[in-house]
Formats: sequence, C-alpha cells, structure tokens
Amino acid sequence: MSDAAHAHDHDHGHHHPTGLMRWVTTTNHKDIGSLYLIFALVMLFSAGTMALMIRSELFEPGLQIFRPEFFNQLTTMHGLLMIFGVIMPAFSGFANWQVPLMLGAPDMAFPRMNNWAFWILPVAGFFLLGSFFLPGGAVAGGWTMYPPLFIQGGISYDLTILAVHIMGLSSIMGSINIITTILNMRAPGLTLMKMPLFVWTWLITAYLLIATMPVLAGAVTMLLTDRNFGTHFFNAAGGGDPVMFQHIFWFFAHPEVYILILPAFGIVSQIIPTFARKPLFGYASMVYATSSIAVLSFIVWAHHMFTTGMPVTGQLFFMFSTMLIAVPTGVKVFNWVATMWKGSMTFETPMLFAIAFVCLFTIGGFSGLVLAIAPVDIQLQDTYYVVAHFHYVLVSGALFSIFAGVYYWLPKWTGHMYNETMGKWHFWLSAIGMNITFFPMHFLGLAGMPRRIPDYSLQFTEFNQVATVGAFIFGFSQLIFLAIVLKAIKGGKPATAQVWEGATGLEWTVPSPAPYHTFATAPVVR
Amino acid sequence: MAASNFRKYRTAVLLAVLALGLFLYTILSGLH
Repeated sequence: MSDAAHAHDHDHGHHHPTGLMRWVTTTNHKDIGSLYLIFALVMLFSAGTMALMIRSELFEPGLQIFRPEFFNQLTTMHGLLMIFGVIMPAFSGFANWQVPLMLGAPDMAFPRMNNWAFWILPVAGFFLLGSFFLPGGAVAGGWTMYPPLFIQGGISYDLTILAVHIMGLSSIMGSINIITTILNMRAPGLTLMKMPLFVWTWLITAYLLIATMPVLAGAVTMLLTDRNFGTHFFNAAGGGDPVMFQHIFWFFAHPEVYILILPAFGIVSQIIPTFARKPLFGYASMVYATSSIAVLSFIVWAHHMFTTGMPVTGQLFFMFSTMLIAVPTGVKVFNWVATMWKGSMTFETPMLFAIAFVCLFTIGGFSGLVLAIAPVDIQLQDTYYVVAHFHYVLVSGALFSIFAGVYYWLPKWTGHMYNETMGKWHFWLSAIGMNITFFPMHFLGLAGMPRRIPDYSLQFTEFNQVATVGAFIFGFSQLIFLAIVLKAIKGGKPATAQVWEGATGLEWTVPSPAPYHTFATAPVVR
Repeated sequence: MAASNFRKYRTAVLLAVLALGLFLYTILSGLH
C-alpha cells in the first residue's frame, strides 16, 4: 500500500472531536493557523483600544481622563501586546497556513508540538490582560522592562515575566517546527532556491527567533531572581549593573525588530509579482538581502543605548553598522519597484496594502537612518520622533503586510471572495488615518515632546489633536476589516483554485477553500 | 516528500539544544 493510501485509511480510523474540542485538540496546520490569526485579531482590538485610550488622554495638555500611573500601564501593555500578541502570532498564523501549502507538505513536521505552541499563548495573553486587575495594576515600566523599575514593581511584574517566558517558549517551539518543516519536508524538486520568498523569510525569521528568544528568557529570569531570590544581576546597590540588562535586552530586541518585519517582506514579495503579473525581480538578491539583514541585526543593538554613556568608538561602530542595514533593505525596495516596472498592474486590496507598505515602510526606514546618527539620536532619544519612526515600521510595515496577506489568502482559506469595495474603504481609511496619526509625531519629537508622559507643554497641542483624530479614524476603520473577514467566512462569491490571475505556486493548485488534508501525496516540482 | 523521522528529530533536537545553550549562556555570563 502506498504511503498516501495508508494515510487515507489511517485518517478514517480516527474519531475526530467536534465543537470546541476540535480546536483544543487539533493538530492540523490549517486549524492552528486559523487559531493564531483569531488570537492576533482579538489582541489587535484589545491593544488597539489601549492605543485609543492613550490618544484620548493626549488630546489635550493636562491630565483629563486617566491617572498618570494608569497611563504608563496603557503604554507598556499596548507595546507588549502588539508585539507579542498581535504581530508575532499573526505571522505564525500565516506560516502555519501557508508554509506546508507552499512546500507541498501534508502538515508541519511536529503537529502535536504545533498545538502546544499555540495553546500556551492565550494563557500568556490572559496573564498580561488580567494583570490590570491585580493590586498595583499592570506593569508600567515600558515594554522594554528596564530595571530598576522592573525590579521594584508589584505582583503583576512577576506575572509579566511568566507571560514573557511562555510566549518565548511558544515562539521557540513554533520556530523549531517551521525550520524542521522547511528543511525536511519540501516536495521533490523544490530546492531551497526555488522556494517562495515567504517561506525563505520565515526560515530566516525562525533562526532569528531561536537565537534571540533564549536571550530574552535569560534576561527576564535574571530579573525574576533579582526580584525574588536576592541576586543582584541588575541591582547597583549589590554590585550589579542595570545597563547590562539593556545590553542583553537589546541583543534580543533588535533582531526581534527584524522578526517583526522579515515575514512582512515575504508576504509583500508574494503579492507584488501576482498583481504586477511578472516574476519577482532579483529573487536570489532578495534571499541574500534577507540573510544579510538577519546577520547584521546581531551587531547593531547598542544603537538603542547611545545615551547610556558609551565610548565614542562604540557609538561610531553601532552607528555605521546600523547604517549598513540600509543597503540590503534598499536592495529589497529596489526589487519591489523593479517588479512593478512595466508590469500589467491591477490594484486589488492586497496590492494596495502592499504598495502602501513599500512607500510607508521606506519612510519608517529613513527615519531609522536619521536616528542611527549618534549625535542626532542623543537629541531625539525618548521623544515622539522615535514613536513616529517605529509606528511607520510596525503599523504601515508589519500590520499593513498582515492586512495585505489576509486579503490575498482569505479566498484560499474560506473559499469565498471578500467584498472588494469594502476592502478598498478599509485600505484608504487605514492609510489616511495612519498617516494623520503618526506623521505629526515626527514634528512633535523634533520639537522635543517626550514619549510615555501623559501630559505635555501647550505648544504641542495642535499636532497632538491631529494625531488623536487620525488614531480614531484608523482605529474605527478596523471594524470594516472585521466585518469583511466575518462576511467572507460566512459566504460570498465562490473563489476559484487559482483565485488571482497572476498567482503562481503550489498553494494555488489546491481547491478553494483548501481541503482539510492537502498534499497527502507530494507533488513534483520541476 | 515522506521525510525520515531521524532527520526531522535530529534537526529539532539540535535547535532545542542551541536554544537551551543560549539561555544558560546568557545567565552564566551575567554572573560576572
């Protein structure tokens, strides 16, 4: 009996749970992908609500709505949840759905570990959100968890450390699964240099995760022992060094920045060729550029620490190594533009978000170059310029690529086309709202407005009011996104297998919606 | 491709050992 036929018989021999237990016990990569995406959506609305609360307080100078300590909890939790609860799980959702489909593999390499990697995440999310209700409230020292503040707080700080451990474990298990799947389960003939770019970017991202998540786990473990077991890793009074935490933390957190953006590069590199109806320009250079960004990400961490008093030689090294990253990033932007050059382009919603990604992410990258210049950074450190910079990278970069990817693959996942008119409304309101929110923050930062403070001087009022209006436009337009996704799940125009005229790759050879089990027999790639 | 279980587990164990090693190295390097 062939392997495929055997798998078929085996499948029928099992009793499959239904209802809630189907989702709790599932080992199917498509189910787990959906769970990750649903979790990310719920967290997006939770952390997004916090963002709107922050912007409401900042609509006027003075303290109107929240106590300052609660405001600090909002900024901290908004950051932690958006990074660990939204962007990372959303990309894991894409990886679970798409990597096996793109490789012609029947599932991930370790389906049971895949189930665990997801189901410990909601526990961490519950701890983080639940810590608002503990004595003293949630953590308020910033998402970077710097000591000494993080050593001094109440019980919610311990709970946050536990949540970070859980989320790190989940990421490591997910990464082991992804790397093992990609290296061992590709369809015959699908060599590494023939893989879709989304798979390439996730392979490199997974290596970054394996290399950096244990470092974060080590750092928060030291925080935990400093808090509870009398060690003095970061406590200056006992001979420790709080700046050492910053070094260890940013050794994790700068590669983390690329963990949040490399899969976005992958998604955009799938979408632009489809809607330009041309193969991706410079495939090999895209792979090498992604790898270079990953390697360079390990030698730039101290550009987050120019004001800690490091020697000028150190400042120069980290300044120039940071600027070096602009080279492979520039290669990528060039390739996306060159792919569109003389293409037969159409502008469906995924393409609109992808083009916005290329334009707006480049603005975020450029302000990153400005911040990389050490003497400039010493002026701009902890101002709204930094807030503007990383929101251009993470909102119009990471989040827009997630929207683009959802619109692109939703017909494959649900079997129904989404409503294109509503999609365009979602795009334009998001793109305009996002720019109204974050562009004025560049000016606020250049004028000296500090971040993470609930009050500000009168001269900052107008730009803050503009930003708050933009934030509400951007925030409420996400309800359109929710409606579109729910509508497509419920029904709509049936999608064909190929869905998009210019789409190529193995995932478009299976019917829409993708059957529960795909590629029981491996396809052959030529 | 029906991947061999040996190759899959070898990849996974190597990656897990790498992760554990980095975790321990981070903490041990903090004991200066």
